[in-house]
Amino acid sequence: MKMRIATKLMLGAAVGVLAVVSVVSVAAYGIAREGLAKEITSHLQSVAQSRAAHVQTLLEQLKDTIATTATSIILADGLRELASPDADTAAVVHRLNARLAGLLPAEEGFDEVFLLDREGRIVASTAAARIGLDRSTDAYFVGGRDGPFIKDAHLSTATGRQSLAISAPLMDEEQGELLGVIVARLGTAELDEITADPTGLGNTGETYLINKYGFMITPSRFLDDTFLKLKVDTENSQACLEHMEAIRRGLLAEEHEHEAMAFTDYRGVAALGVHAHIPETQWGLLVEIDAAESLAPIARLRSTILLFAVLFGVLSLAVAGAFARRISGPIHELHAGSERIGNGDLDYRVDVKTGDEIQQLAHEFNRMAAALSESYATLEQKVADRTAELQKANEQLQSEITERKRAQEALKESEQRFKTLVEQAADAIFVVDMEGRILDVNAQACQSLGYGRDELLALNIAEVDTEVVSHEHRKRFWEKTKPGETVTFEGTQKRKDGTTFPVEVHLGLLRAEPRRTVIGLARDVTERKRAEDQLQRYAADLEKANEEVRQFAYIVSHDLRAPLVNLKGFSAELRSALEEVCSTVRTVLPQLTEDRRQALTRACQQDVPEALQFIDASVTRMDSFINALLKLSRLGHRELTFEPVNVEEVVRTTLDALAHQIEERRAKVTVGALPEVIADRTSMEQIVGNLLTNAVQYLDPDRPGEIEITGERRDDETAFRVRDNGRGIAERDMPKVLAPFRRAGSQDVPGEGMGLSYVQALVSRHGGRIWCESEPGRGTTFTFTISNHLQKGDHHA
Amino acid sequence: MKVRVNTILMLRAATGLLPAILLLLPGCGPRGPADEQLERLSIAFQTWVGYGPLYLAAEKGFLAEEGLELLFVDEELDAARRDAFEAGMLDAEAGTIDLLVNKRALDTPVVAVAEIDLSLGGDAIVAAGDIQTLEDLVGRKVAFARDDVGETFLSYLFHQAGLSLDQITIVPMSPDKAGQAFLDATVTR
Repeated sequence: MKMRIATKLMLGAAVGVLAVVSVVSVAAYGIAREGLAKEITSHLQSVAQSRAAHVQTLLEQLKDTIATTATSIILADGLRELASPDADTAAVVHRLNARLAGLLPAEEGFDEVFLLDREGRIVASTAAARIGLDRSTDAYFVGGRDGPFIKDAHLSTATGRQSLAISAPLMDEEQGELLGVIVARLGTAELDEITADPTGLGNTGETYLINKYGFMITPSRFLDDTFLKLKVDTENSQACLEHMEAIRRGLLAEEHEHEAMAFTDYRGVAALGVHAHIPETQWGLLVEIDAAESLAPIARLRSTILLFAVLFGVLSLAVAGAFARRISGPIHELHAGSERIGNGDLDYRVDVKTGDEIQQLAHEFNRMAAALSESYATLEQKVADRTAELQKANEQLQSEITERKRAQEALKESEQRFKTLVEQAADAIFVVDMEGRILDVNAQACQSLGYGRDELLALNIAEVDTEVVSHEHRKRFWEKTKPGETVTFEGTQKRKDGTTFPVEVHLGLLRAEPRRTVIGLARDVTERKRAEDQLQRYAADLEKANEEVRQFAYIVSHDLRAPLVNLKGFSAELRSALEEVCSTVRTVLPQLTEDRRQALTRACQQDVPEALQFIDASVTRMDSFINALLKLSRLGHRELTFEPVNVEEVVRTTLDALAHQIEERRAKVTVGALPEVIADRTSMEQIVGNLLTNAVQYLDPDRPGEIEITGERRDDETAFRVRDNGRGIAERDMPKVLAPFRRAGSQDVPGEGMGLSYVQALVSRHGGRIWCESEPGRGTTFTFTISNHLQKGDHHA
Repeated sequence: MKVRVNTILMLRAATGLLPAILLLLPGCGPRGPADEQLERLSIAFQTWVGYGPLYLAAEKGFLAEEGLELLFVDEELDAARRDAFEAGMLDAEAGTIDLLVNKRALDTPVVAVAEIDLSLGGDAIVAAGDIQTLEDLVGRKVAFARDDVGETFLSYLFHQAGLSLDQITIVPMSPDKAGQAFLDATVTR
């Protein structure tokens, strides 16, 4: 639906105004109505409470009055007298009648005061005609026997008047017996007076009492003759009686609040009302007022609000209309202007003077029109400029494309180079993903395994290298390795024909994202393995041979000793036998010829003893050799215990032991800084002892000796050097320096030639080497090393 | 409408079996439930636990099902209830069976419409130690509520024993006060 702006604005304003007016009116009406309802409730309740209190007080006063009257001694005495058979009844009755009239005079509202004996018969009364009537079944008698009693409102049988009766028992105080009941009947005028008071009840308000059955007992403001005839059966009366019942049953508090009720009263008129209770007689006191009167202010307020709403609405619409036209006028002007400019009249300008945003808009519109006009003029120049810029951008783009192409070619070339590199690599190359799928291989891989490239790409690496995922180390690599880390291991690969061969594999992570890819380089190590196996076999053979040699040396030396012992023993036997032979020979010498005598004497005293001495010397020497041999063979078996050894201390101790010899040869010993090593202490002592002893023993006696001990720690081993300026070793003797039982040079120094053999064996067991450099006449340098890889606490058997 | 005056119940009443009955004015019977407007009737009785079911019936809606709505009126005195009956303000009463007898005796126009309770009440005569028989009560003070079950009970016992209430001194007293009076030794019962 098309609508003009002015219409829209007007409609918008109208809807807004109506909404506001409606809400405000309804709220104001609601608040006012509620306030008024509260006020009416409060007012009616205060009337009800005050009247109810008034009625209650009246009833209590009546009960007090009759109770006080019942304590009259004259009345009690009279009743007692009448009860006795010989009483002067007429006199007593007369006296009692006079007394009754004096006690409760008629001017106080009492219609009749009378006495009932304990049988319920009237014995005295202010209405003499009623004396002698039996009222034993009347409520005032039945109720009055037990205490002060109010008989509910009733029509008196005696007078036909609307009455209340109050009664109380007359007791014989001494005996505690009932003597009779005093009763006073009175009209309801005083009650009527309380309820009929129109104060505060306007033109239609009224207050009335109903008895416990709901019947009206005080006059109506509107109807005549209602006493005990009109049963008030309205919502207010029903609520009143129900509340009374609820209070009696303990379901509702005596003092309870209730709202004014809107209901239809006993005349059928809409009314507002409240109720109160008179506990003494269980009456209900109702206060009611016509709704029309009580709610009149509300009705007036409603009319006023409605009138204001209509007026305000009309006024608002008029103002909105004028306002809308003021806004829409300039907009129309703008619209017309834009149409004209749109049609090509670029010099047209709009004329709006509203002094607000629309004038600003018109101003901007005019500026825009001017700018349009101007830009139209420069448009062609701009098109030319833009074309040139475009051309330039195009050229730049072209050059970028060329550059990119070149880069791509370079990349391609590099890729090709890389591919060739991979293809021609001597190692088999595999690219594998985390599931083991083979993604790429090179020519060497195909060749070594005997597959075609496509065949390999269809396989899983596990089919080629069965250990690839089972080995714990590799598995860890497979799952956890970061880029840049590599791992090397040995494995076995299976060719297409089922044969296998050992490989050394280097694995590296090629890519971690988006999926992990591993590159593996496998090198066929069949040849190397074969060489290693060969080496191991040789080593084992060698060890075996060594062991055999050691065993041999042990057995030989052991077995050689037994004949030596025999030899030594029998040579001693020979010597003692010789002495015996010689002494016998001496006794027979004089009988022999001179030649024989001389020969025997030489044999006994010179030849045989000399031969025996040679035998002894040879045996001793042989024994010493065997002992040395045993020692050497045992050396191979002794268990070494590695511990930190202070080599400097070992050297000092050894030098102390050699001090005498050093001094004798006037030698000067220099000890450098010697590093500590992990070694077998005893071995170190033997090594150092041998080398130093040799150095001292083989000094040249013709010049002052000089011995220097130095040490140096290197990466894998620690080297110790013992240098002397002794006699030196001839070139030809060098090879046998370390061999067992070999001694070099002149044999003027005692020894078996085993020392350096021990040293070599011990150094070797420490993972070290020993060698010597020497120049005859200048001196010798022995160097030995100890491995740095020995661990403290290790044992070496 | 049916009048329930059961002679056996009457007899048993004298030995403490007192059925409660519902009394109604003739012509005020409940209407059928088809009538939408409920018949509003006022009913009065003494405060006694045995009438509890009437309240329950009202609360549970049983009365409404019968087209009845009862206004419960607290009226302790039979005499006052009678006045209300006669004035046309009270529609129904609930009471013990002696009540019916009393009302009948006074020509009050009532009919019994329902037996609503069978009470095995503990009615008894409480007397001082030296009183062993009904005859011992002669000339003594006896407290009971006049116009009430107590009086009916005692009348019946005396009648059975060939005695008269005139032979004792009656101290009219409601049961709640009688207990204390007995302890204070002002009465025999």
